Amino acid sequence: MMLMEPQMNYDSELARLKAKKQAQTREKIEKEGILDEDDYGRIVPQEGVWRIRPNHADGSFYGFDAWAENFCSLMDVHQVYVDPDDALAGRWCYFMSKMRPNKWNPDYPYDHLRERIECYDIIHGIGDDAHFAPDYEMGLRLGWGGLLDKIAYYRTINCTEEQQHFYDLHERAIRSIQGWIRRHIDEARRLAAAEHDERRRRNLLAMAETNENIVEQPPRTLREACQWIVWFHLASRTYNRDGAGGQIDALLRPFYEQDLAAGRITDAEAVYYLACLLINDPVYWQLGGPDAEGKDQTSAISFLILDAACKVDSSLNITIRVHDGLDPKLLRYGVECLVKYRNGWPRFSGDKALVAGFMRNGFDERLARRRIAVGCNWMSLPGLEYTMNDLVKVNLAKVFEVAYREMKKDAGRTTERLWRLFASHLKLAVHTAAEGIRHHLKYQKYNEPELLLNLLSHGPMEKGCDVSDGGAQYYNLSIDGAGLAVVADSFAVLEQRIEQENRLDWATMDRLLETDFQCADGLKFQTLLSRSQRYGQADSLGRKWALAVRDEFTAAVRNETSADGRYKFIPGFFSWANTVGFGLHVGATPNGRRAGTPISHGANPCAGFAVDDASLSLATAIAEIQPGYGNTAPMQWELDPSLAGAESVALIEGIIKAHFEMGGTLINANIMDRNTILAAHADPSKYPDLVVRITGFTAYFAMLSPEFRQLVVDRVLEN
Amino acid sequence: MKGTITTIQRMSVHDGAGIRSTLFLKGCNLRCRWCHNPETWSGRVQLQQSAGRCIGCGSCVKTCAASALALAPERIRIDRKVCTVCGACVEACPSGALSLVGEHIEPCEALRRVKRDMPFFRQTGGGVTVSGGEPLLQMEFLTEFLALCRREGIVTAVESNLSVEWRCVETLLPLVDQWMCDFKVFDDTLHRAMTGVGNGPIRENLEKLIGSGAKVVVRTPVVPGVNDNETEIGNICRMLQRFGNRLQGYELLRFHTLGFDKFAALGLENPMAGTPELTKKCFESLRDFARTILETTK
Repeated sequence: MMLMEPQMNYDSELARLKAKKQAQTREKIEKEGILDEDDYGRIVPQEGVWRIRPNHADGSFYGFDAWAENFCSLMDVHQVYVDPDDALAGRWCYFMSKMRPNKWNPDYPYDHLRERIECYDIIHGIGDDAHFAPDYEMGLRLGWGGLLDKIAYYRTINCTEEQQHFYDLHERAIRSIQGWIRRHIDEARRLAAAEHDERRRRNLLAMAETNENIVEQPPRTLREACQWIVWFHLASRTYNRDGAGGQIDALLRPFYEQDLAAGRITDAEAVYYLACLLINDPVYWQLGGPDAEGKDQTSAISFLILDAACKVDSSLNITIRVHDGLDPKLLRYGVECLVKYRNGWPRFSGDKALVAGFMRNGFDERLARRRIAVGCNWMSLPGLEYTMNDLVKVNLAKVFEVAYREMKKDAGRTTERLWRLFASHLKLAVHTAAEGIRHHLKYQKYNEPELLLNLLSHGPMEKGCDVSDGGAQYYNLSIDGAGLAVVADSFAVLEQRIEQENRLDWATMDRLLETDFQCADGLKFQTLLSRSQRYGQADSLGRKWALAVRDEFTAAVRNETSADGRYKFIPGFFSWANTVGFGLHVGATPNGRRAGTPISHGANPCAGFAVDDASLSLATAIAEIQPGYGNTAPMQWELDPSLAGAESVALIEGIIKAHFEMGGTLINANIMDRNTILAAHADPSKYPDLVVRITGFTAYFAMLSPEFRQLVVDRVLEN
Repeated sequence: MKGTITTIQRMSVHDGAGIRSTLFLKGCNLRCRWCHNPETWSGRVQLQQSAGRCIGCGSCVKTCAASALALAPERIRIDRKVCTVCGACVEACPSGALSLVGEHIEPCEALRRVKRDMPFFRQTGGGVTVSGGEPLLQMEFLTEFLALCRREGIVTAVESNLSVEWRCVETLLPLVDQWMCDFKVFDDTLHRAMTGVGNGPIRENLEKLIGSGAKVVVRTPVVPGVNDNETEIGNICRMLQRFGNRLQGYELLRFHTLGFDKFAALGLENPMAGTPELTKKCFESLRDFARTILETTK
């Protein structure tokens, strides 16, 4: 391996890489328009290079053969990306799974579920992909050649024709990735030959050598390990947008320490490689936290990764796992980064409640500790489970609306009666979502098998079947509730204003909702209703109803677990970027919310809930509302910039630790100056590098739709 | 014994170490012209009106048995001579434009409310601060509340003007971990003119309090036209100098106008109306000067 000069500074390379990334983001906006999603690190593909190859009359492609054919044909022609400033080769371009006109194979219809899906506004997840974590440790240990050897070995054990074909296709996928890598090697050598700048020339040659070393063999150095991760990740992103990461410090530590021991790396080089890894794609990586035995995994490279993040300071999805044994310096460094850069990173996850919660599913503590924060809101056991995390959501506000409308027929209307109806519909909605998941599990292999994630899972190769089809060791299936606060506050309003205070009657409430508060006294009543006892306030009716909704939803989800316990269902509260879409489908609600406006975000109270301090009230309320089975109900924290000075680092750290002590699971924080966000909303193009943490993911503000930008602006201003 | 409070403010970060919950007790024996908490002057419950919240629905006017209210553009006109502070209008108001300031509360209830923030206290070395008004005017409530905090292991702090009998301060010594005491103006005549009382008893109590070994921080609000000069600040610093390291700290507090709206909300005349904020430059210059005498000045 060729080395860069020791003690060299890479700031100029990283500055150019950041500038290029900004230009790439601008190009994406110009050519592809807005995107209310993560940045993903993707770049605009060259035109006319590749198109999907349908195998169905509807113009889409389905099943193992078609996915393998499409993926491999894309890999064969996918553009190469070699930047002489970058330590690592490769970028991804194609949303292959999104390029299909239809994402579910119509030969496996779910018409029997459609009516209820629509009725309860369920995001059903049928045909959705990825959203569980690969085991990068296995990939780094085996390399592409080792994965081929593994396939060859299990090919001799699982001998049916179907299994042999299964192995053929996975082999073919690996070979196509290797071909893609080889083309990068050629490109790096070609560019090196033409490069006059000695520093760049040497980097290009080192890049070529790095890739030559890992095209078959497992990586042996930190740079090779980072490059291997990038290749798997880019391929998996291309295949189906998989963005899960892993315990990055533990994954890379052996390589870094071996390099150090051999005297072949400096910390400046390590930070450069790590910065290139981070700038490649905002993958969800976890730092710190316990290993299976409970020992903290923080090491020198954990700090170097944060050093690298400081250099990149862009869209980043790094999570620090906070537990009792965490190196306090890592937590402090993380909070300092959050305050200093104000770009929504890092996030923080709470080990105590996550481990205790996951154990309530019947798993032991060692396994629970290995379930890490590697997705938007979600946790996963790398390589061990299939989860459908963040894919299936029930719009609780819509369920409430269905129940409310049904009760209108009743003579004796009470909140108690409404609650019984709500609970009954909620069960049905959750059951529908679970039925959707079961339908998905039954037919997904005929729709979209996990050709890439199978490779880094423990089971699919061993058994010769897809991870969705029995290949995984565990099935811990996620169903999230969305709009919790709208429902809790609406019940609270009805109890407080109609039943306790007699301020209005049910008929008046009907009139207000039907007219969207645009009737006589509409403003007066809307104001009154919106000032009722809300979820998020201590000792409030809103709190009481939120806990009731939490318990009912949790029980409904848990009730879907299969009798043998193989298919466990785990509840969470999360709405991702669906607050806008869900809100469009719900009319005015008794809490004073106007028709069609966004529903409340995840487990967060409705904006303006705080009668005293918002941060403490928020941290207390969300810690209390956790469903408690190892999935998250994140705290989305819009932190007041006046509190977020360097002198407040210890206080912010204290709030984070207190939230986790009380039962919190995940904190996503924004520190956004009011004037900046307003100016960026007025003209996003002037703020190309402004990053906001939307939920679990970060996004360039300039890439968001006007509606979504408005939502972020409202959130910041209201807090 | 119930106390009368205006509010329990969570997340106080300027009233002692760490994250604190501050109880503001109602009633004060001083009338500092620059006060930013005029709602704590009176010990009684008062009606206040928040600017900009009234939606003009007239619900309050209809419900007022004393006919003390009338609709005016964007606000309610309150005849405070007639108002009985019965609270009916507050109940009727849909927008929260009208509210009562002042709540009678048992010590155990106050404790219950602050206890919910125990995890934040623990993680930041914070606790409870009792402020006002002058909290030592409600000795029975205060003593019982602080004793309850002590029993729960909550760190306590008290903000006092020390213009009280020494026996009150002495009673609380075993229950208070941190004292924050104002010494507002050195010149006794000026002190009397600006606050309504002389500073002699305050000096005596301060001396005794520091002498008792209590942890004490002295604070001076720097007010334009009152004590924003080197003579005043210098004299206070020299007075404090003799306590040496027995004094835990000295802080200058910059005058601000954030409390001005409260005067209007309560229908009170603001004695400092029109006074601009103290400039940062002037404040920092005085602080630098104070440091030349008392190094620990913050």
